Amino acid sequence: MLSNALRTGARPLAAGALRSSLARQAAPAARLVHATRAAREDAPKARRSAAPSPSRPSPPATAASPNLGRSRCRNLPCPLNRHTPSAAPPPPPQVEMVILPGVDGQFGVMPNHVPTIAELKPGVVSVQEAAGGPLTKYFVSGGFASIGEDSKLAVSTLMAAPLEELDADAIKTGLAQYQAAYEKARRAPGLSRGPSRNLRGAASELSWNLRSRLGTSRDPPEPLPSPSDTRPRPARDPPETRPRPFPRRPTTWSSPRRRSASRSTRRCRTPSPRREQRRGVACVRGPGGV
Amino acid sequence: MPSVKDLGKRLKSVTSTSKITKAMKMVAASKLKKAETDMAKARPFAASVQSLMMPHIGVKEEDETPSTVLALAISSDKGLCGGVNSKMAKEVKLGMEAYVGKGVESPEVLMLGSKGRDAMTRTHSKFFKTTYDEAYGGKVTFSLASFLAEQMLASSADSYVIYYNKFKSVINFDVTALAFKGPEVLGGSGVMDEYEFEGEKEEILADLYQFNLAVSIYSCILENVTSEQASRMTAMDSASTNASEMIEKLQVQYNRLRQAKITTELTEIVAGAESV
Repeated sequence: MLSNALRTGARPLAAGALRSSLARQAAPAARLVHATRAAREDAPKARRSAAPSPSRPSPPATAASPNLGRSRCRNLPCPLNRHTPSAAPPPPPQVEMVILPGVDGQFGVMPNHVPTIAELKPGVVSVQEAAGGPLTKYFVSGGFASIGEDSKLAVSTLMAAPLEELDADAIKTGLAQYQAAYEKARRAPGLSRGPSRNLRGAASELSWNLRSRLGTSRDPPEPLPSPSDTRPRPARDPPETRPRPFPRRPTTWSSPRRRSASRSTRRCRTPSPRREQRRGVACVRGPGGV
Repeated sequence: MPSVKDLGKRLKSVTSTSKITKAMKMVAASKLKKAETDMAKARPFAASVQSLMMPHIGVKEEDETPSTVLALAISSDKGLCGGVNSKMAKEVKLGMEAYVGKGVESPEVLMLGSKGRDAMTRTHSKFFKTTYDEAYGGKVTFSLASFLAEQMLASSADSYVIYYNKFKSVINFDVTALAFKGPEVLGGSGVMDEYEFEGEKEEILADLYQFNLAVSIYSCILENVTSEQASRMTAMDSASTNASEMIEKLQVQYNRLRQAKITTELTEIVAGAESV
């Protein structure tokens, strides 16, 4: 059903401007996350389809990933699938009410809701199966929710996990690790703002999850206090007034080393006398299915 | 006529090659299984977002030619995978030339994977905007997909295309182009009117567009990886079969040669003994 563990590196996209931030999920975050990678991997959670109206049948709820135990800070999004090795059963196809964490605040969806598309920020989705019944809670890492005309709710997120499966200690450890990595990244020379913003955002998401898991607050998280950084920030990156999980500005990347942008000739990496001779010529391989 | 020793050496080398190809085939088979599961998990994820967006931004037959095109072609970094990369390169070349023929000025290609780049670089390198090497260092992550989506969206175009090998079955995969219209289409009147939006419609649609692109790239990369593993498995399988046939032939030849040599020696000895 829902993958356990929280995904901090991958964040749902989008920001206001067209060119903006898919940055969150990009390379530096991934690299950072590789450093703290857990053994297990999940894939993006696709959809929990709930048809609140009892008169309309809905497709069986999708359940997730290779969920095999305690959560850890993990990196990869978990896709949804119908096989649930985990203990928690998939959410039933027809539910009474679902509360979703929209970017503008929480909102609830009941049967016959007007068709809506909403953007979600990382938070807790509560599902109430029967009227007046208990709420089943899942942590989702943001994404989109769409309610169709037949009262079908589709929640598309990268990661989702039932709250019970989230391990507070693992979250704290992960938060500490991310903060350490963030410190390191901020101090590393030559890094553009992009990666550090990712880290800040990732750390903020972690802290939000931590707080919500431990039940201290449901309010939108304030951004983590950044380490004392007295460098003047460029004007086009104002501090975020609303704790949106994704920045709005396009980020400029210093190209990560492992992705080399190259045009027609391949750079020969290790210099050697013979290679120097051949440099201009033989680095280009012939076509064909090698 | 090669000597017995040369034949013996050749036999040894073909035997070790066949061992390598058999091992590669088994490795590819296990990786294929894993890749198929990942791909199957990602499909409903992609479908949920695409079903929302594709009616509006999917490119249909009767649409007019876009003025600018940006394509992302997905190939692999490792070779020995059969025809997936060469097919991809061929399709991208044809596609780009078709766009040029229709009047698109300078369509551009982002190439993921060094094999595709190598295949295209001699003749069609003018289409390259950026190429990405060693992107498959670890597992395919959504981070990679969103990075690529961001790169694609960094330059505005009328149409975005993703070329990938669509996986239909272990022996059946083909290059497919997934085309989107540019995000400006969403600003048109009447788009997504049946939905209410929690918050500003333009913002949410812009975000959703990017999300859709990243999700599509993610699922396309997974499909390509699966196709690549399947192709490698069949390629190594046929290589092993060929190697075994060659070993049989060589073995027969070797034995004949060896026996002929022994017979010659014996004959000489006997002849020498008789003359005494």
